[in-house]
Amino acid sequence: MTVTVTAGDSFTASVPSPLFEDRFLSTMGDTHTTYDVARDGAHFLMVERAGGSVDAPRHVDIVLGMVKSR
Amino acid sequence: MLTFVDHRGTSTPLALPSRRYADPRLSPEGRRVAVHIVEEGRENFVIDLDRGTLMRLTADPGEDETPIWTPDGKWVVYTSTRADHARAIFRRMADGSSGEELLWSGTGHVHLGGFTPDGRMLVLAVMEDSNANLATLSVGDKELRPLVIDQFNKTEPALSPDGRWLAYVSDETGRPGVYVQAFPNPGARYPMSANRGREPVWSRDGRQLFYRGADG
Repeated sequence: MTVTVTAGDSFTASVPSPLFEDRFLSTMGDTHTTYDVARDGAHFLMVERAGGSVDAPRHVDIVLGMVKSR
Repeated sequence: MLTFVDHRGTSTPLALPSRRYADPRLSPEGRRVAVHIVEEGRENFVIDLDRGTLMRLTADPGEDETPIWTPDGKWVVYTSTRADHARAIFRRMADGSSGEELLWSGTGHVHLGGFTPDGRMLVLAVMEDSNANLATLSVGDKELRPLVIDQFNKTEPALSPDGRWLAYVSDETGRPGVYVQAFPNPGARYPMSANRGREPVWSRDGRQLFYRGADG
């Protein structure tokens, strides 16, 4: 999922929107963050099972928002 | 295996040996990856994306995990168990040119979240006695200080690129959800995920927050 944010004295965020079906691995289970975002913000470094088989699909959401300066 | 995925979900696997990779973290310049390889004795490695090479960063029989980069890209900081440390945080030069330097040692199971932009402090989750909470570690005085403490579990801290906002996961609604709170002085909390959310990660420009979840 993705949310757009704006920072400042207060924090505002858009409604979350789904990016893509998350068929990638959370190798270590809960409490680990198992992906990263590339510098271009358009690609994600993720873990995939060799051969392309996948975990049960979820969603990667992005929240876009605004954080006003404090 | 590791793969780059675009916004449409198209996967482009990296030309690397097939291993059980975990906790991948791109370096600040984006050309290296600090990663945990599970079947290699839970060790940490640095991958050079341009050359397709792996370099082992840790080799102790203990567990090593959650590698993160310092903001200057020179060091990788990670959590470990050692024969003489129930749990510890070490740093090592990313090019392997230094030995391990101990930053903290204690009993709680810690997972690292990221550094403040000046590299002086890192945020982490401390899991101990069936509770998980957030804390900061000052690199200068090596003091661990509680950050957000209540009766609910908090994990997966992610600091915004400008260091002013902290995203994390809390189970206060009975299921994991992503929240954002001011840093370092916590104020109002802003829930990000409507249903279930985990693993918040900021875009490099701080304008987007990503998470894994079931919203939408």
